Amino acid sequence: MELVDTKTIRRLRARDVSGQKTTTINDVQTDATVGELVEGLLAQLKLPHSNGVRYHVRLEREGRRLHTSERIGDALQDDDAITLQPDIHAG
Amino acid sequence: MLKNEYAYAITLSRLDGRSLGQVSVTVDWEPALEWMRFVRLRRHLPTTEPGAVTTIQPLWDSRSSAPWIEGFRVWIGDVSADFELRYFYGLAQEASHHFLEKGELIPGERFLYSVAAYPCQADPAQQPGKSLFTVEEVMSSLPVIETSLEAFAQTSRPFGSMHGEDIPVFIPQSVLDEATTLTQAAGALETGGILIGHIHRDAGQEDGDLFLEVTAQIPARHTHAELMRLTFTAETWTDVQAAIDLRQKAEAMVGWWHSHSWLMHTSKEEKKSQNSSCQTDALFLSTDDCLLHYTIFSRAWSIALVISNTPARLTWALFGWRQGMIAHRGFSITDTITETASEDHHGTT
Repeated sequence: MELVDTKTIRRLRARDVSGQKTTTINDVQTDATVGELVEGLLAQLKLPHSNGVRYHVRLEREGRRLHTSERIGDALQDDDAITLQPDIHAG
Repeated sequence: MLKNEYAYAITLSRLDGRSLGQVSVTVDWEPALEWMRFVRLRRHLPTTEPGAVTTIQPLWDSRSSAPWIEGFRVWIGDVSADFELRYFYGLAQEASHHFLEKGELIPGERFLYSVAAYPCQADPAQQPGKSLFTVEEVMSSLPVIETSLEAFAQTSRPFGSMHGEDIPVFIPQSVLDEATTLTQAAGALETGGILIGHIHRDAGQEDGDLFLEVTAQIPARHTHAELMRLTFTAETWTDVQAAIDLRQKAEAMVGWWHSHSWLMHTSKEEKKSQNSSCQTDALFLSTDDCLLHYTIFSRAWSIALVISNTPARLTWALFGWRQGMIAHRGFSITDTITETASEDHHGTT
């Protein structure tokens, strides 16, 4: 009987909305939330996350926005592509 | 790997020279680093080299000497560029809030600032933290098309003041007309869109430089438009990407545009003095505009077009990155959109 490690997702691809910043991340903890994943990605991609900028996560495979409270293991699969989409003001 | 052996502090003084005090600051070096990567790219060099160390060095003030600086120098490998003291302007403005709260400065009061660098053990920004994942690599590539710059120049006319450090930017008249029409239709409300296009390298020169071609503008839909604010939402970005995908021309988001109404102009001076942290002169980018540009369009070739709509006239102004700061810049207006996207793809940025 083969033991399967279900505690991490092997690989995810993440990008910002402009496509100017992309990254591949490995061994993503499945017990973490989407919100925690976003926090880590913002730091990794050097995206500002203060001053009223709020980020959403779009799962390209399903074409839907993920909720920050969703568990990574429930929402994402190996090799999924996600996009960080900000609500951001000009003025 | 980033090597920075100094901590920085800003000293504010009144216009008569009396010191207000010194504030330690955490410097965001990323725009300067991005500019350096761009400098290397323009010189046909890879943006980074395996094992290369990126170093930030203070440039000591020739009159006052250490710890006072007149700028700083960034090295990536054996390529370096110097950055002016103005890079710290935004931090100086933030530092002034400290003295505003204490009542030692009044709103709108002008002040002088100087920057000091002190040796420190390690850059606090480099301290590793706990992570939910491991990173394979952070990549950001954009196809570069080998094209004759002269072909663009022959069918274009300049608009605004050109600066030697800026790469040429070509925007079709039709794109400007579309943005203008949308601005006029929006009336007093702000509106905007995303500029898409290609990066080219001049094939007509041995060490041809890069230049930017805007091919279209995608109106920003699903926004929240107000008199002096325009909010781009997640739905806006989804819609723009869908439009780009539908065009199938390998276009990238190279910038954005938005309008300023006559109400923005009326409060322009107040907003500029209180909020703006951008190094601009004429038609301006507000603090929110600069944050958007930094957040979404941080690559050094990215541009921001502002359309000013007042009862007197409608004008344009283009902004772009220069030495890690957002600066007002010129561009060229072309009459036609070239059909080069499908040919001669060569290299990546």
